[in-house]
Amino acid sequence: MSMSIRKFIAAISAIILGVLLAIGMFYMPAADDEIAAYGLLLADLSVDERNSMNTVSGVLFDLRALDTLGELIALFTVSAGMNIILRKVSKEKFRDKRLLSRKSRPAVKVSDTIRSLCLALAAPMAMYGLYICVRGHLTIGGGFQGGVIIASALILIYLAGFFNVQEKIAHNVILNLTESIGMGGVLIAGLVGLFLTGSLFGNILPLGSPGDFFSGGMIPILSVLVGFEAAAALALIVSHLQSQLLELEEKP
Amino acid sequence: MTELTDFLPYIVVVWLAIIGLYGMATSGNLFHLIMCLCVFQSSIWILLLSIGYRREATAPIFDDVSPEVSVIDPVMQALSLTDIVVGATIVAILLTIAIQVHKRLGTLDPNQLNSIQK
Amino acid sequence: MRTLLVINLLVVVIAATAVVFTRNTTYQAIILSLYGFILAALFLILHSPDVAMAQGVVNGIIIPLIILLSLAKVREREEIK
Repeated sequence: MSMSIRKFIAAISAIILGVLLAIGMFYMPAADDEIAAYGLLLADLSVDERNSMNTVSGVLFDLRALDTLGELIALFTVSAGMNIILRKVSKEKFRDKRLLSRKSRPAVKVSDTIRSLCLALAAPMAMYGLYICVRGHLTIGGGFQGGVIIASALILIYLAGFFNVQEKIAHNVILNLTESIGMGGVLIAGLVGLFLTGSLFGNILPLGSPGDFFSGGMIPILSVLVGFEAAAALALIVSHLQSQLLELEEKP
Repeated sequence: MTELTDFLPYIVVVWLAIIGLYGMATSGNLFHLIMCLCVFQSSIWILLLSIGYRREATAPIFDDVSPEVSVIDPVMQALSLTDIVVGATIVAILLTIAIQVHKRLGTLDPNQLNSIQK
Repeated sequence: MRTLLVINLLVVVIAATAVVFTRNTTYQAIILSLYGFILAALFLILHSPDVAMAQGVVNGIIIPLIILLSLAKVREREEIK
């Protein structure tokens, strides 16, 4: 099938699908109704019974924590499974390890401005990510947002051109350990809740007073654990792709 | 009163969905296909958020507003937040498959992947 | 607020169309990053600051970066040939 025929058929089917979808969209809730009863109920519950001022964190880490567990399993599986899919084929061989050091590797030249800015920003960025993680129950923030910010702090080190430093962090046990702590911690917290209260991710800690830093029961703890897991999984994904680029080369 | 601009996000959702699918169907490069998939994913986030959006309401965070004000649906926000992070892993796993296809077959064009070689 | 919403939706449509119809994958990854930030602004206007925060980092930085890394890998193999 030639490209022009394919484009024509695709355009026709896209237009038909678009018309059908547009007709369906007119049955969607308008912007002036009441919100759905379930959302209203969860918003009230997370403020009144969980003392979580941020209802999104309340939904993610307490009321519907089972969904979060499913997502964490997806993150964990992908970061582990990429290594299996990206295995070395017979046409490739490992680069000489000595060539990996930054002086001899013909890498792209990074200007001094970018390098100093990236290195200066990396540590504050990681701290900011942790800060976002731990205050998810008070105001805007939470585990996922903090986790991706921590992961981007590691990316800054890579952008600065320090491949070895980043490789040391990425190939070390640190990342794997962080990921295991996040994943295992969430599982253990859920199971402890199950045995003590009878429901998965049941709350076993005192709730504190609303607006306090130590409030919300399990929400801050789960939020930090989820942050660890998200940060480590995304950093591992980046480092797997990077090691493909930096460590393997084609056989001549 | 329902206004026409209330339905504008839904129309944008329809456009993003069909343009993403059209790009995926007519793509000549696996990486181009993956980025069209990103556009298609983004239509779902806008759909979820505009289902929960209310014109008079505010964000569902009660640290500086009284609990009586009407808020936006927090369930939709939690769902789309989950989907954004999962979407990144989907893109990552598709990229690894594309790299592996290029390693084994030496091409990125989906049209040349007719038979399973080797 | 409503004017902002309409303008931002129009920009989203233009950016998404640009992503699909750019055939050079390197430029496309850069436009995808821009599109991610535009979507983050839209989510802020839709009163979802939590989602906007994650969206800005994931679709603005991490996804374009992993796409560029894979492109570099593929391009390196094609140069050798």
